[in-house]
Amino acid sequence: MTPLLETRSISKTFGGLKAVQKVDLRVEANRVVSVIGPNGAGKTTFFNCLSGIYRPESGSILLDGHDITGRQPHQVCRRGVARTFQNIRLFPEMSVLENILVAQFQHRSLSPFPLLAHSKKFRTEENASCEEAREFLEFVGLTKYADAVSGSLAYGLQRRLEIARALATRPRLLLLDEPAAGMNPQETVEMIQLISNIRNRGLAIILIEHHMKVVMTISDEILVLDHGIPIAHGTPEKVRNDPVVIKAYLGEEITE
Amino acid sequence: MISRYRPYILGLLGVFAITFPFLWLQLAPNFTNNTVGITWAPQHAGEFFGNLSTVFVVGFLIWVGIRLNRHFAWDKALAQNPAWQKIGTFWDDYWGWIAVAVLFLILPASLRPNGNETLRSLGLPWISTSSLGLFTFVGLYMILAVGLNITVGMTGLLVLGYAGFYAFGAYVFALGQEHFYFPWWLAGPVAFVLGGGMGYLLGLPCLRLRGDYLAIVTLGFAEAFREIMRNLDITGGDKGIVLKDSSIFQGFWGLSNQQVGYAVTALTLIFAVFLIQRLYHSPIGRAWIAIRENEVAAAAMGVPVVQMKLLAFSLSAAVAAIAGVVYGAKDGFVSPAMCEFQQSIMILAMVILGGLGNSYGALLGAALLYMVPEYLKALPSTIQKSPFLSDITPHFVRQSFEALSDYRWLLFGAVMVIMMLYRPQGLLGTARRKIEMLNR
Repeated sequence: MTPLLETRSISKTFGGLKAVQKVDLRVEANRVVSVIGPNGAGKTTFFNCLSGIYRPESGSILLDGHDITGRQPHQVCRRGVARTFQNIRLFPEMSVLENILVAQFQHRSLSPFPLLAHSKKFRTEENASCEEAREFLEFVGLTKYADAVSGSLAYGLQRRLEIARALATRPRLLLLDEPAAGMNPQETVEMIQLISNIRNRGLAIILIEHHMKVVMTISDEILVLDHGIPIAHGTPEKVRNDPVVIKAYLGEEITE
Repeated sequence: MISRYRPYILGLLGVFAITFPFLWLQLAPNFTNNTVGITWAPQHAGEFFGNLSTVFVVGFLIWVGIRLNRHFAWDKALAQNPAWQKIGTFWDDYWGWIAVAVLFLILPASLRPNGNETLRSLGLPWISTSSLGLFTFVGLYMILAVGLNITVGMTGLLVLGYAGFYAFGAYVFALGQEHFYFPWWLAGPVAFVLGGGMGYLLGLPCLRLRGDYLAIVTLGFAEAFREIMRNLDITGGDKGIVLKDSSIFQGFWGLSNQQVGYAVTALTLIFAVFLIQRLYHSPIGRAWIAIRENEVAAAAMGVPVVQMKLLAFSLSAAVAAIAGVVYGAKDGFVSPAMCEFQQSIMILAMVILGGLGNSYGALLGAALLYMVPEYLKALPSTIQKSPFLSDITPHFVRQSFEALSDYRWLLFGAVMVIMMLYRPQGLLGTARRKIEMLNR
């Protein structure tokens, strides 16, 4: 059976810096795979390669067995990969609802006549879009902020909105880049709940996270990167006790 | 309550403080003993009240403007933005349509050949049938401003040579008429398509890149186009092309050239506003705004960024080209001066003054920036000609109006600087931008 996503030894360098080196990963539907590692380990670069923002120098990315290496970000998105960003990238001057509506672009018909005439077909479609967008807002708990300007939302709510916006592209694979960063314990618990709800919808999730509680609670598998090199890969139990991982995170014990 | 009127109260006190020594007291410097003699001279107080009433009127107008703006843009946006549930109904854009209708249907209909007596006594003597030419120009600039607003305001791409496409359209028409006998109504669609194609070709290399490359490329296009038109034989060089049939619109339903030119301009403007507003309230318009707000995120959410930018820019160029055709048909004359840099900057200033990203703001900006200098130019002679106005206007004010008329471009610059400092979102900036400012 072909996995939903498969990366075959993808590498990306910036000048002399090897940001990602020969990363292999297979992700099945309904699974949560976490990518962890110290700062600068190449986690976000890995995401940027997956979502088409960077083109990896070597290796290939397969989605359902189709090669999507080097595709444009919107083409990757069209094939069912959506992402959030570590440094939140909302459309700050648009309302919360509009942010979601933008993400539905690929599912909207753009035939010029109904669009210019605002025909009944177009209006029905537009209303359906709004309805669907409200469902996504309800799913992440932002219903009452639908008409607020997204740039004015509190930080934690902006993170939730980013997730809702990514879901609105109707992805099969969701890339979450540090969704729990900067959250208090209560918000973190809610975020864990939200992520497992997303998984229950049948999506595959790749998660970058520093928050070990989140990672250990919901991951099915963990991939550990250090200086762009995968140093460990396996179940949370296995990774937690891996001496190589402990060394990468905590440093080496000084031996005389 | 007080706080709401504080600017006006402070303004009035300020005017009073500044004018008090000059109007109520006679300052007479005595150079022999280096003293200043002060005499109580209440006979000049009338001028003060003249001044004061001007301040009141201006203040009142500003207040009305602010209230209207809040009422229409802000409250509406907060209450029902941006679900756009009601879109598709005519009344959704109602106040914009009303503005267009007032300007283009009601106002000309109320014109008399010799001007309207009431309007004349109010200092608006140029509002008569003979002012149709003026209104036609306002309409042309409105078309250009809403067209440019697609690229600069909605999509967030700077364009510095927009007048190049305007001239391009005019030359397509002029050359087409000379060599292929294009009638003006055919030239419009042809120029629309060719202008859009030209925009597409120019956008293709530079819209793939991030950053303001488009600004430089369009600037270069406008300058190069002007130089080419000046130096080719078939385009008549600096002298431009005088169209063979110089009164193209004449004889159309027995209307004068000017009247048909005006009507065609109005219809073109309504077509352009309609087209742009419909796109704006659609996934395409949202994609444009998303690109302006965050290009990377827009791409990651499935918006084909390059295509959408190309669409926005081609449409802008096409709208400018069609405005060029209307200009050519109206004036019967096209010349390289149409795409001078100052033209492009003027159109850009209209968009910025009116409010980036808001079509109605662009309309307002175009009207203000074209009309106000004209008005200031006409003001001193207007006052002189109107017995009523010259009676009620104090000498002091008349003098300052003359100064205004002489220095109108200086005033224009000052207004732009003040706008950028205190209202960077423009007069009718989008509601969103306003809310963001509030939170700051």
